[in-house]
Amino acid sequence: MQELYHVAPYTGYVYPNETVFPWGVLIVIYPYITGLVAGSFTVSTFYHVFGMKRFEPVARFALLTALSFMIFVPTPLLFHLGHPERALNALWTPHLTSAMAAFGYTAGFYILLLMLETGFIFRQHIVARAQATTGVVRGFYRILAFGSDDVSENALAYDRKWIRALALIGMPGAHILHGYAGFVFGSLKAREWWASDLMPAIFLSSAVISGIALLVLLYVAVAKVRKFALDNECMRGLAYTLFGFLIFTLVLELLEFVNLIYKGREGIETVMALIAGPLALGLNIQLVGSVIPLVVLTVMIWRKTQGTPLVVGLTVSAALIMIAVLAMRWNVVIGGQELSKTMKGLLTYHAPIWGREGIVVAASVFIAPFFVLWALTRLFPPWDAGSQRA
Amino acid sequence: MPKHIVRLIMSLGIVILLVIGSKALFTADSFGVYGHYRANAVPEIASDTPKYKGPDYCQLCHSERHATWSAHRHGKVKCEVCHGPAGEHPATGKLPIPSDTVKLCSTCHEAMPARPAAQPQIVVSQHSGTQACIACHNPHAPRIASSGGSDR
Repeated sequence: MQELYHVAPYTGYVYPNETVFPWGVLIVIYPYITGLVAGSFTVSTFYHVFGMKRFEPVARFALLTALSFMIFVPTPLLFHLGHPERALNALWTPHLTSAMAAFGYTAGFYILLLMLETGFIFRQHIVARAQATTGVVRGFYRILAFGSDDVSENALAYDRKWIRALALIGMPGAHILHGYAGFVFGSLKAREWWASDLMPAIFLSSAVISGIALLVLLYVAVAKVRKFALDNECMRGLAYTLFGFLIFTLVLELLEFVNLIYKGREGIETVMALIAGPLALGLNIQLVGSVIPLVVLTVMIWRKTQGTPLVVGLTVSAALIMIAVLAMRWNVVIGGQELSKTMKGLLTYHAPIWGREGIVVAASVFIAPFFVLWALTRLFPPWDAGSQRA
Repeated sequence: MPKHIVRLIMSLGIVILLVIGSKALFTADSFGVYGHYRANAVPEIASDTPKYKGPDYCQLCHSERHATWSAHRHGKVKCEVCHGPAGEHPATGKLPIPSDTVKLCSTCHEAMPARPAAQPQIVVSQHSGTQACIACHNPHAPRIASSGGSDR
């Protein structure tokens, strides 16, 4: 059987055109990264739009996290499709007749919005750096400051208005971007495992929990490295948010699942075989990674846990949720394609390690935003407010 | 209005104009001739060399095997389903002869409720365990004569 992988990697009781497994591990990473953007941005809007003060310590960092990951959102698609010379075409040749091509509108708009929001939030710092440095560095900050060093009360009032307005527009923007990723899958009516009106909502809410979880992990990690105390109120806020969105996600996922089985349409036996067979491991990871955090968070919220136990409990929950959401992306993207379109058999996906669509490339695409995030935090320090409060 | 806001709005205007301009520049020429896709893609794809050659191609050299295969029950399952696409074979080397037959055969013969009843199905673990299918079955003429009935 293995002898066949390099010529026809996917065999089974299938149509001839199914010997190609179009979406591999790279397309698993794509909605995963998109989701992290939506989640981080949501936390940032809690402070910038809703004025929830407890999120202040991570609000600016959350925005930088969203920007770093957003820059890499189109990358998996680019590796998948090839043609790097057409990298930006998706952004400037969008149209509404295809769910795929509509990506250009959502992504282009959203990248622009994130850059503007970051620019405004860090404008005082940018102006200060433009005045304090020389040479190329000064030039860089001068361009970002639009050649102005106006930090008068009037100018800052304008900035605050823009920040609020951009965050306000950004919220539906972030959610449309991710809802759209779910829509692409949910609207493929030939795929029993995907075709569901709940898909965009499930993608969105799982995106939010993965983004919050990432933020928790980064916040805890940075606090360890930079040796500042974690803000207890902020951690509790993150725990509450994670808890709320986690319940919402699980309810939606359960509804979709029950719906699929209860409707029992043609091919349901094969769907059950998929669940018991190739997807069993992924679904179990998703289940365990969602239920343990739910229990831990419920206990912590019930007992009003504070301090170190809160940090430990929340970090463990966040790590598990990150894994569970990755497994969920795998289960959706790979699972949907493992069902033959004949609905009379299953295909098997073997993720290649090397190559353009291999695990190494996918892992690199996921890791790269962390380096960009590190670079961005050097240019725009997000921790000043947080470390002063701590 | 502060200087940086004015300049920002102006820059945004320029960016929007650039994007609209780029759209005209970067849309492929043949796009939209037939519908919302690049019309030139159709002849390009049509000119691709097929990788699957079909049993007639295999027969040119493997006439003996072909005769056995086509006379028996597996005659509906094309050679390349199990041996992979012929492509430029024999120039590019040998085609695979799958060794892990339990895995290969069970992709079609493992019992599954959605499969047509006419298709022979087994629960591999009860049928033969880990024993290779080819120990008893000839893949080109799979029915075992002692089980009765013709092989067609």
